[in-house]
This record gives sequence, C-alpha cells and structure tokens, in this order.
Amino acid sequence: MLVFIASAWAHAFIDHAEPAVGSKLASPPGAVKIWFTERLEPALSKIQVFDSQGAEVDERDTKVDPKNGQLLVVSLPAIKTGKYRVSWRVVSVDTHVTNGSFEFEITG
Amino acid sequence: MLGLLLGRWANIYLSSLLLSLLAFQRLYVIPVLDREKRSNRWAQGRYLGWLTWICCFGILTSGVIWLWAVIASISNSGIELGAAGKIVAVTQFGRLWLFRSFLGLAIAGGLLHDTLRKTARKHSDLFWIAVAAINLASLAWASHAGATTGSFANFHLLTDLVHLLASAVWPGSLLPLVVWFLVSARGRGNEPVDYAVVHRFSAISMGAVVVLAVSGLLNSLFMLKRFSDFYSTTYGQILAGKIILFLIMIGLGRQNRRLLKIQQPSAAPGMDPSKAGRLFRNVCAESALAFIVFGLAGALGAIEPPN
Repeated sequence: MLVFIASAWAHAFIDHAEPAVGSKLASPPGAVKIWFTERLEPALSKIQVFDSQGAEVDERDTKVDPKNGQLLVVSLPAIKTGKYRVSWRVVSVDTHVTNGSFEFEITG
Repeated sequence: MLGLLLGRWANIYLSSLLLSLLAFQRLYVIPVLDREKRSNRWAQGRYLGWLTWICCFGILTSGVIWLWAVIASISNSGIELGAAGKIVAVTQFGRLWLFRSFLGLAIAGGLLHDTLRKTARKHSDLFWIAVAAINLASLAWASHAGATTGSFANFHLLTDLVHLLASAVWPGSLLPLVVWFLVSARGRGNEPVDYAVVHRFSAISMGAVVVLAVSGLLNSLFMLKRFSDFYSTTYGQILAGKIILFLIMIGLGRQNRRLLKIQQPSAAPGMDPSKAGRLFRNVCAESALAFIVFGLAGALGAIEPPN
C-alpha cells in the first residue's frame, strides 16, 4: 500500500476511495472515485491515473459529483492487468490545496 | 503563506473595526446624548471619519493581498492572469472576494458621497452599518465553517457568523473607544456624557463577551477532536493562545468595571482624572491585545484543524 499526502497546510484529505488504496482487483474498474473530507472546487480539482510506464490512462474527465461535493470521479477505459498509480490534486472550498497519490493493481 | 496570514489578519481586523467605527455613535454616543438632552456634537462622526477611510482602503488592499496569496497557492506556478481570472470567477472564495470588494467600494463611495454633501441623510448611517455587518459576517464563508459538511454544517456557519459580528461590538470597538477618549480629553465640560458613554460601552461589552465565549466554545468543539489537541497540534496551540489573550482582556475589562463602579455618575460630574487615566491605559492595552487576537483568528482559518 502506498499513500502519499503532500501538503502541510492542507484541509481536504481522502476519506476513502474506489478502488481502495493499495487494493488488488480481479477486473478493471470503470472509474476511480475518491471521497474527500471537505467540499471541493470542481474547476480546480482533478484525478489522474497512470500505468506502470507513467502513461496517463484515464479519460481526463474528472468531475465533482453534483449530488456530493466531496466526491471526485474520473472515468477509466478498459485497462489491462498491472499496477496503476492514482494521483490527485484538489482545492477545497476554503481554498486549501492538497495533493497525493496511491496505487492499486489489476490482477486479471 | 506569509501573504495569506497577513492578508487574512488585516482583512478580518479591519472588517470588524469598520463595523465598530460606523456603529460606535449609534450604539454608544447617540443614546447617551438623547438621554442627557445634549446637542449632538458627535452626530456627524467626523472625528472617526479618517479612521473609517483607512479601514475601507485597508480592507480593499488586504483583500487583494489575500486573493494574491490564494491564487499563488492554488496555481502552484506563480501568478498567471488566466488562472487568477478562473479562480475569481469559479471558486466560492473568488465569488466571495468579488462580493466583498463590491461592499468595500460601496461603503467608501457612500462615505465619499456623505463627505461631499457635507451632511449625511438622517439614518443613512444605519444602511452603511448594515452593509459593513454583511461584509464582516460574509467572512464566515472564507473560514473552515464555510467548508464544513454534514448535519451541523449550517449551525457551524451560524456560530462563526455570530462570533464575527460579536467581535465588532467587543473587542472591535476598543480602538474607537481609545479615539473617543483622546477626542473627549481635548474637550471640556462634557465629562458626564463621556462617563455615561464609557459606562454604556462597558455594559454592552459584557453581553458581547458572553456571546463570544459561547460561540467560540461551539466553534472549538467543531474544530478539535479532543482536549489534548490544545497542546499537541499547531491549531490547538494557536487557539489556546487566543483563549489566554481573551481571558487577559476580560481581566482588564473587569478592572475597568471596578474603576467605573468606584466612580458613580451621581457622585461627581465626571471621572477622577487618575482613574480616567488608568481606564485609558487599560483600554489601550486591551485594544493592542485585540489586534493580536484578530491575528491569531486569521491564522486559525489558514491552517489545518485537527478535526
């Protein structure tokens, strides 16, 4: 499991994520969802998903769930087996920036 | 980070002070003059006018510094015009900044209008007091309370809003009271009125202290997880410092009330000069401590709370 949060003055932290931090999945997920501890600024928050070669594999369509201002979602295409790194950078509505990353694996 | 801390400090302090300056006469002076059936020599408020102008200018300037610091922290690669425009246009903070800048400019414009007309419309001050109150209360949306989620979110916002408004009554009004002391010391023959104003200030401040203590306690419960957070986290340590200064200020206030009780208005037309001097020094000390307390309040909004 690898979780890295890099901001000393930050406020919006991960509450939980799907796929879970460090999880091993049998089949690829359709999206990465991260629930944060504070409401987010939609235009300034994003998730990126990288494969083991460092290539971005997500659909680049990060959005805040309209019904839940704390939930950030990015869609994924049908990705292959292997390790993936989820990188996020968010701005909470009280303007504080947080960023971090975690990994998950598709075992197939 | 320094820009953010200084911008927040100055903006919160000056927003509270602006409301205090505009409301000072309405709250403390005019009721006394009406009761004493004295001519309203303070009604136009010229003696506090220069301070009000400085406040308006300071609020707008510190607002720009605060915005600049927020843009710098969000954009992560220096200030870019496009990023700045986006942050102002689409974020909660940006829209709040625009709204508060408009209010600041409106108050400055209103003051300029009244100055040019030489005489203000009767009760026009009430309108500007209301605008200044909205300007101060809106700071709650730029604090942690503005980002709170869950079932208590609105209640947290409300307690923060009440805390901000009470700060304009006390300790925000301490600096206008210092100016009042200085101006009244120049005049002669107004001692009974001066005493009554100070007495009224003391009585109203007690109510504000209670409101501040209750709303502050509720805010602390929202932000801290456990009592040990007071000494084990930066947020808790700053909050503890703020509470200690608050208690010292209450101690000075108690001393002031004792001085006022010793000298009842019926006993003499004015205050004993030595006691008035001590009262003045205490109020100056309280006012200086208030300035620091507002700085700590600004810092609390900029750092991570334990909860």
